[in-house]
Amino acid sequence: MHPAGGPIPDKPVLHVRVHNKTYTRAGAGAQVVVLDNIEFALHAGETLAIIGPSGCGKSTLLRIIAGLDKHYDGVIARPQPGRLSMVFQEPRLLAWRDVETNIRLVAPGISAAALADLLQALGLNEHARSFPGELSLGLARRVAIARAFAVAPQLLLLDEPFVSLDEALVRKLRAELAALVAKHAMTTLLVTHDLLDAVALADQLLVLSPRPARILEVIRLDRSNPMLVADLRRKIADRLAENVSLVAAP
Amino acid sequence: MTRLLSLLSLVLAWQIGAHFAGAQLLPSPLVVAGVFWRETVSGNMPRQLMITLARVAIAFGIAMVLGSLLGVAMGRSRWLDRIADPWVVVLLNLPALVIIVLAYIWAGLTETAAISAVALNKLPNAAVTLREGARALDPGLDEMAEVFAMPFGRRVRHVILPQLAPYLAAATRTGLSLVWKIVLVVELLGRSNGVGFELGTAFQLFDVPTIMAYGLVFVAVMLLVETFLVQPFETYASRWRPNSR
Ligand SMILES: Nc1ncnc2c1ncn2[C@@H]1O[C@H](COP(=O)(O)OP(=O)(O)O)[C@@H](O)[C@H]1O
Ligand SMILES: [Mg+2]
Repeated sequence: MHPAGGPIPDKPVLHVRVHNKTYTRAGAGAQVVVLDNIEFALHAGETLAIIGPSGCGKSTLLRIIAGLDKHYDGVIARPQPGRLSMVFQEPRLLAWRDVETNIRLVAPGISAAALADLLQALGLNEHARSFPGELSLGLARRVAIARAFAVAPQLLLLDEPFVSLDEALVRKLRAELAALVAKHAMTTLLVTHDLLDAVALADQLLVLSPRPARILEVIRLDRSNPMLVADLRRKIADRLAENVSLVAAP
Repeated sequence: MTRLLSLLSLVLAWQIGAHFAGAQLLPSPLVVAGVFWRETVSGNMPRQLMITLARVAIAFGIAMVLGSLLGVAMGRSRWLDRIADPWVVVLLNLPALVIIVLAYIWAGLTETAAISAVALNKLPNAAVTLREGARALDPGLDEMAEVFAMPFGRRVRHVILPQLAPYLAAATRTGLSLVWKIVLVVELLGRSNGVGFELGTAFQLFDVPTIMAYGLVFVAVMLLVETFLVQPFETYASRWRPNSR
């Protein structure tokens, strides 16, 4: 994110300008506007969280950014193919390949040491030879995260990487992911409906409205401030009074 | 063990049936075994068997490759599906005999006509099965491969083929049993060698022992193919499934 009016830094890793995105509702054929005038930039080393209520269009935005959805009105400048990686809302592993092969298939050039490091950082060292069907959802999510880091991307996209895990596990995984992002100084775009995810991982926060998603607020995060989460909750609640789920206590 | 007993009872029923029907209509197992021995020692049966098996393999291979490609393409492209579907439906419902006879009339009594006729009989079956497989492909994995810019070959081998494996196995299983039956008819009608030709000759001479010897050997060979090729492939293709290991 580049605050308006500041000095012009180098070319951003990601520049998003989506004027609008509509889906055609099946059957009725009616147009549903999902994204409305979303514009932001992300520079090397920055971490940005996009927070918004469920169903507001976060996954849609991320799919557009990843180049998976080309039917939108706007312009996106993103890294070259293969220099961008993504952790989807579901792990999306190849069930017929073991954990290590799942990672190597997207990152054939990864060194044994780098792979071992990654597995170690995510607590996967004992599971390198396991098949995804033998893993819990939490472990499968870790594999998806390891795979995304293995390609050493210029940009990492994360779509609610902790959704439907229990709270204790989420806290652990959040910390592991935050440590990895920091260690690699990874340029990261995280999409979530949970403020705690955002606070743990990002230094900037972009608040989206309910569908159609518009940018309501851009907030610079300071993770050293202990009052932050409560303050943020209130601040976002003010901007988003009609959406209770977004600011519900954990 | 039960299977062995079942087989033994079959042989016994055969023996008893032969006793009542008379050697002309139903020769005893021993007589058929004698024919089998004679034909094997003379080298005729192995030779005819190899010729037929080669035709089965070639026709099956062509039908599987072309049918699978067509089926996957139809499963992936709604446009192509709409164009090709009527063709597939017609071929699927055209009696095998009609395709065979037409192939011989149009292309002459040639090897090409014989193989094409067999392949054409199997092709729509493979296409329909693989179309199902292509429709069942997980779009989420497709997106994953796309985001990570996986090269085409790696995508086919590691993402697509493993998902299609059960459908390929199903097409193989039904395909083999279909193809080898049709190959015999094709040989009977328009070839001068192969098991089908031998059966035709034996039919004209009312040589029941030879018919039974060839028929049984053919069943045995196909069971061997099933046991040592098809089943191991299925086991291999599904080895990653937690419940099958
Ligand atoms: N392929 C689609 N066709 C039509 N509507 C869709 C499609 N995908 C998502 N939507 C709708 O667009 C809205 C945003 O979806 P999504 O981006 O998945 O939300 P989020 O990730 O924020 O929960 C939802 O109302 C959803 O029903
Ligand atoms: Mg979503």
